[in-house]
Amino acid sequence: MATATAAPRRALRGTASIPMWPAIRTGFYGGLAYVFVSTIGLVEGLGQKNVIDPILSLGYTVLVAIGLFAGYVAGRAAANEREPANPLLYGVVAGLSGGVLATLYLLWINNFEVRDIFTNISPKLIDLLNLQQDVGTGVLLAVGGGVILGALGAGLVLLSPLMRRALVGAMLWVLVVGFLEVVLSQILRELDLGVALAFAIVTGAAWAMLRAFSDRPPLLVGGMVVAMVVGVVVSQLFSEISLGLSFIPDWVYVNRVGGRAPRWPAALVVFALAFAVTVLTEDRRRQFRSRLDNADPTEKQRWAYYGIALFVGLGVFLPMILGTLVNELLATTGLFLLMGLGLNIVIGYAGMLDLGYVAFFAVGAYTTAILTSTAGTRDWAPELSFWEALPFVIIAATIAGILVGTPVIRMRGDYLAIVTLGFGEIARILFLSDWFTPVTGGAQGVTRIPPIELGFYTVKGTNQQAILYMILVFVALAAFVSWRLQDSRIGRSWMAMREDEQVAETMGVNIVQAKLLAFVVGANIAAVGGALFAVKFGTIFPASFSIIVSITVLVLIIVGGMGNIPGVAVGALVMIGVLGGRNSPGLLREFAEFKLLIYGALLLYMMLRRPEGLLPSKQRSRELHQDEALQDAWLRAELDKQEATS
Amino acid sequence: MTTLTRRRRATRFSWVDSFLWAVRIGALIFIVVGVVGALSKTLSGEGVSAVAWRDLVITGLAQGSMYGLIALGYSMVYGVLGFINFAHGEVFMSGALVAFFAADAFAVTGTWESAPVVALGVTILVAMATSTIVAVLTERIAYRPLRDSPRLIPLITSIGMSFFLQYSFRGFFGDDFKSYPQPPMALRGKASIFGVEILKTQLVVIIVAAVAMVALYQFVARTRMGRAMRAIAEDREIAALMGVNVNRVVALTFAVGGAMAGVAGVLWSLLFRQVYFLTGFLPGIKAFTAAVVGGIGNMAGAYLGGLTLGLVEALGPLLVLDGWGIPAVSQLKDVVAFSALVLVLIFRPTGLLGERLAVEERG
Amino acid sequence: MAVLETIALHKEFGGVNAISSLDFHVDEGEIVSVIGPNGAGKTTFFNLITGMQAPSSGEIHFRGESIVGLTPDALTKLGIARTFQNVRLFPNMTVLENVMVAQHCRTKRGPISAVLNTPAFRREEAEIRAQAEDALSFFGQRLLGYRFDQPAFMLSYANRRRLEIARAMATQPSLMLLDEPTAGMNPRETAELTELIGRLRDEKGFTVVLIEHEMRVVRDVSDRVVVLDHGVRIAEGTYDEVTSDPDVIEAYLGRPAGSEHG
Repeated sequence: MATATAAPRRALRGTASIPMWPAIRTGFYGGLAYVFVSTIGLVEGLGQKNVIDPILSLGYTVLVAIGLFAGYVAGRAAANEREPANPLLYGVVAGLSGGVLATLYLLWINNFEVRDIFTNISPKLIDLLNLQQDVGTGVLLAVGGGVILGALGAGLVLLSPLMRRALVGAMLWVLVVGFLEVVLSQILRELDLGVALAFAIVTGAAWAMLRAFSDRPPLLVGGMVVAMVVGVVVSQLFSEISLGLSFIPDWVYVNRVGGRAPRWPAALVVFALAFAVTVLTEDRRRQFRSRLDNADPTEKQRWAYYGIALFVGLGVFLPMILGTLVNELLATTGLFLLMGLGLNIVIGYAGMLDLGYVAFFAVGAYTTAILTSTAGTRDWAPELSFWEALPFVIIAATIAGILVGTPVIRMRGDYLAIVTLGFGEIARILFLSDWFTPVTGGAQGVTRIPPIELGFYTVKGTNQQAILYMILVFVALAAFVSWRLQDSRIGRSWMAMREDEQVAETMGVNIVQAKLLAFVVGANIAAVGGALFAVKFGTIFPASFSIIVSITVLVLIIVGGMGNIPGVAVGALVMIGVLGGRNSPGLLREFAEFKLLIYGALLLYMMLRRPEGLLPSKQRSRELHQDEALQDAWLRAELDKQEATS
Repeated sequence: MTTLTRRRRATRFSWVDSFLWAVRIGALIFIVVGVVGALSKTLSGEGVSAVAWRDLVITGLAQGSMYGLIALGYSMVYGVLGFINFAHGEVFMSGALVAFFAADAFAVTGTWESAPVVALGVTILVAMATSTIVAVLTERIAYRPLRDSPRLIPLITSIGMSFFLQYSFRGFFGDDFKSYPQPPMALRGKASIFGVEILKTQLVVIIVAAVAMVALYQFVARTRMGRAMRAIAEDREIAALMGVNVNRVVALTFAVGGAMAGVAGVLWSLLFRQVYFLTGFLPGIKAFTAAVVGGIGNMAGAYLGGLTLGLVEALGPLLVLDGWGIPAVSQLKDVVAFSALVLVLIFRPTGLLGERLAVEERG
Repeated sequence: MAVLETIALHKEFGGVNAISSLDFHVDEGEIVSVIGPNGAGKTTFFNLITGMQAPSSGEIHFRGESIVGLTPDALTKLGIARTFQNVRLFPNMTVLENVMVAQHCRTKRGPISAVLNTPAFRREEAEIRAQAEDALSFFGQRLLGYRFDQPAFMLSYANRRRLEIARAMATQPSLMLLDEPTAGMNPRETAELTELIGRLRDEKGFTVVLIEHEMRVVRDVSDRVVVLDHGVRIAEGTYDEVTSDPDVIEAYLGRPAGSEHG
């Protein structure tokens, strides 16, 4: 503002001339978000499901969240103004500004028939947005609500960080309790002494094994198997003794049209509990964090063992009690996790953006299906067993990996992405085509894929519990392979290649070998996933292998944290478990229709705000991010200062 | 920088090279044998007739013109920013989808028949405006903050954007097919040019696309903004130092690419009449293929690549695959297109007319 | 016998000759400096030797065998290592990992032994680590201890250059190509590095080819100096010989701007 030439330009942009511009702008964006989620039908679509019965539906929750968030952003902007302003005022202004937009929107949809174009603006949505009142009241409520939410959101800025976190955390917990209704009820109802003991035994044993035999995989695996058998036996012995926890879900949840939801007193209790726990355990949490941050490698390893042991314990015990529905969900999640682990090797470790990854999955599924199917409708059907077919799956995947990998070795990263995408589509179309129909069955696919014979047990695709265990075994295997490779000579060469291919080559890494190896390992993991997929459904169609699957797997490893095994697991749970996979609803069945929209939005958000993912790998970890960010922030601050003074 | 990519990286006995040579030779043999087979069938009067071949060529040219228009957006963005804007197919779709409501309104009011040129012109303008807005907004929201990050980051972002746009439009306008009105009477049936019968709609598509191309070419070659665009394509930082407003020019690049995609959207709808929220996906990827075939970053190359791909796709199945006796070759149209992409990248990674890139190699 | 020899080496970029019929050789245990004004083709020369670019014509022999057309990794395996003018580490890998990667071509355990954690694999990993620590200890305390687990980008500029040399050492080469190792260093660090380059030969037995702009370094370490200008060798000899050569003086003084600095 110092110089005359700079002034008009800034005025044009409105940063200086309009008072409280950041608040107005934030409110405007909030209003846009309101209009957007309403117009695409999200509010109405989620309107059925209650988060807190009978007060708050999921649809309204979205609107409330937008209001609160906009208020918070506006409040923060107030603190960042050259002359710090009152955050509450900014929050109110943002609420007003958003409210104005909402008002215009409401007047528009109430007074014009727009449903011919915008199919989701239904009378029901209009009622919802008017809060079941007439237009005038609806508008007043919208503006008033905007102002209140804006002020509340901005109020968060005034709180201490601890309080803020506790409040937001408690709200999120209420949501989680609502979302996880099926899982929580099921666990609390079905939990008996046997299962609890089994969990304790397996977790404890797994931890002990990890400590004792971490460098001797055969012993480790053997020990784990023994522990699991013991766990299963124990669980059977004490399965009659109930822990009597089923009163909790009975009290917390209530049946409603849109699905079971927490009653409001229960929500209040959850909120209070979560809040109290956050506040009271703050010191411990902090100590724990600093210990984790400063841990030396051996200690870090010990923490990793705790984590792995817990996973093993949960993996053994959860399927026992979760029931068919959730087990099926977990099985799907497991399949995607398997693919995620494989793709993680290709993208996360070796840095090659493979967009046709589903092709390997399809190769595995089709190889299994063709070799094992007993349908007898196709020209060629050797009717092998699953285990006899598995070596051929490995061979087919290896060949596919080399065939796809070789032409792309020398391509730039983005060309590689498109070409692999092309390969994925080629594979799908070929499986579908009349040309291949004698073998692949065309659009009808391959039917009657037999179950897996274990000798003492038959894993039927329809038995969700058994197939889930089967998938978990392979997930564990894939995770183990990834983990072993990561810290080996191979893993280091991949990392180096991802960082700077040319230099890696100059330092003696054979790029051709390294890339092909990544492709082949990734292809094999996906192909095994495909084989399990074929058994799980008993029938496969080309339609199951569309590009969406590749993209979904990509999104889940990016959301979770590329290059990091626990990250991939978290990504798979969040994406597939909660939101749902391609053809399977997640826990939030209401989201099914908006799943892909949310995938896209998540991908955008992660890339723009948190490219390292929810659980970043160590390579993209704290040090990297913080220090760079700190330096950048410092630099930017300096530059701003200079600009301001000049 | 190009020298580094073109450098010979092979050991003297690399099996990868041998493999690629095998692919090249195998592909050549496959194509030649297929073509000979197909043509000999035509000559012996069993296969596709000569007239049918000619119709296929025209179909391919019409299809290719649209690919060319869409490819421009990919090509220019790649030339200036160095990443594949995966969401460009959705820019195309957005124009086609929104313009449907204009076309529909014209059809209801009768303008579509009474003043077809005006109606079609306005429809195209609506599509151009929509696509331009969508393209510029995506740049502003998603790509500008990432301008200096490694090139896979904006690519992944654009994949997210692609899905976001697809399902937003589904949310706005529903998931049903929107059926464009029949082409106006004046455009139905065939026209005869130099004794060759051509479907009028195909003719319109080819002409409009060519006109749009020429207009764009003039714009980039003659105007100040066009010069700035070329300057940035040469070297972004130096252009910025020379006083070019990089943000504005990049936005303009997206706008121009979007406008062309919008035109393509209406042309597409004229030919195929049905659009819905996933309409943009395949043409998008094909158009990117076309951009690569022509030489990415190269405007004339995008158009030429589009025409080439259109022809390959129209003729390839019958010309190459049918000659091998493969059944139902029309199902394999996309396989031919994607194989063409792979083969081009193996045979001539810089495309037919050579690539023009601003961005330095970043692995 | 010459460790490295180029015969009529030629490289052109779109009609411009970066290297013109260059004959060059280094003998076992020699330290040869390649100097010349900017754009003289020095880095191109290194790129040709290390296989990052292919020569337009001419021959390169390493220990008597032609190496034209070999990939960079094959050349590294033969025993040629290099550093880069614009420091190219693997920035997000730790210091130790940077050096461990460099032993890739000296080790051979594949994915299966890594997954099964076989005794041979564990022995090899221990060996790799020991080698890496050994290479890092060459720089005294500078790269030791807590720095092992720091990502490379957190190092100071001078330490990055040191790490690059350590990484090159870890490939266990016999010929080491250093591209402006002292660029951007202060005088004290430069002096220290000059001494180190001498030790690279005396203690480790490497043959060294050095591109350098800092004339004091060139004077202190070189057995022989080769001067390039526009890809042509214009002088060769001891430091004193070349610095008094009129062609060299003209090459430098004829274009005074920027000739001393990278």
